[in-house]
Amino acid sequence: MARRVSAGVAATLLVCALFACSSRSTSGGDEHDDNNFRGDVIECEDALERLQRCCPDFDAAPVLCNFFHSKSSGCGAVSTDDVKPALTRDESACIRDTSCDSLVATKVCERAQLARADESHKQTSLSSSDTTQWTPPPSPTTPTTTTTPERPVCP
Amino acid sequence: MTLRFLALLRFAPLALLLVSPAAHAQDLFAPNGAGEESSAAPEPTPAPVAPASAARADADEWWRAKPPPLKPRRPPKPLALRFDGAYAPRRLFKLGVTGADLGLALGVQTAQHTAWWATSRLSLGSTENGLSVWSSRTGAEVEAVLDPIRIGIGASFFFMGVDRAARDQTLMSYGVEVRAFGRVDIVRDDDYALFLRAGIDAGAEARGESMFWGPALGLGVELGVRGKRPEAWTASGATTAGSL
Repeated sequence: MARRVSAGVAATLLVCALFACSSRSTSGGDEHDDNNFRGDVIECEDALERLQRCCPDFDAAPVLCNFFHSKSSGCGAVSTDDVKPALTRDESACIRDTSCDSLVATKVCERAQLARADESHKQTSLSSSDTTQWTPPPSPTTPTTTTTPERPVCP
Repeated sequence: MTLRFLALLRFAPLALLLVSPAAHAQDLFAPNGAGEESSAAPEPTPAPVAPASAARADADEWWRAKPPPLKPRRPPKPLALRFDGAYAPRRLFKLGVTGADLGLALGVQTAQHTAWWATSRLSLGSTENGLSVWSSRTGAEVEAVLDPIRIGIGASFFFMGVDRAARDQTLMSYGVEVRAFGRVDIVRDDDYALFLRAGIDAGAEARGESMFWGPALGLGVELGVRGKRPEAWTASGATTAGSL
């Protein structure tokens, strides 16, 4: 009986440890989260699959469905880095629910081809409330004519 | 004559020495008082002859003695292998996943109405748009055996993965899953059973903090590995299947 109880306690602790050990970590006010098993990332990936099926010559490689968040404080400033998937959850849902013909006809394919992961870097001084924001330049694969997709991508 | 008598007296002590042990020895070998001295003394309670000789016989023939009867060995509990496959739609976040759920289990029937299984299951599927999703689970199940119907519950640890669309990368997560299921034996023979199985699985996935869940409906086969179900365990006594 005692052995069974011990086994049950051990299993419970293991489950708790598994749930506690995620890619999200916080220490001393700093945050780091590179967990990409998220609804917005996975729904974005599913939308990319659909775009590859429906849109002629669609190249999914530059359309990144990534998530990253980091916040660190030091030297009197707080630095925050964020990356969000190229397609929002609403856009992904719209692409899922729209027929292939409509995706082409309404130029969703074109706009989606230009969509990029939303990267931002923000630095805030702790002494003054100055905030500087930086957005990385578009990647070299982006056509030079239109660098920013129209939002929303869909509809 | 007198001189000859005196000469004989010289040997008297020697004669006494020789006669005395002989008398003791006679007492030993005649316990019931055959000797003249013992007949004069009050006799102790004579020991029965037969038990003494029987004890000696036992001591001499100990090797002929039969070992104590062994307890009858319990028949081994029926052990079986189970394979099953099912159509298993799943839900992950807002996505529907269509796929197959395959199971392998090793089980033992511990009582007339109870069977325990160690299970390993694999789900392979994809979303409507083709995004691959899989999960692998290991755990245990307990069944209520109500021939030919069974109902049960189970729990597993699982790992799951979602392949990215354009990159050779898999997003991984893990969690715990519980399931409830029912089974109906369509065919049962001595060493196997063919059954229909329906159930519902619900997994709590840790990294995305979502549920990965859905029903399953499929067929399976159970193969007896060891032992037979006692007649009393079977519904009519007609089937003593090796399978559970």
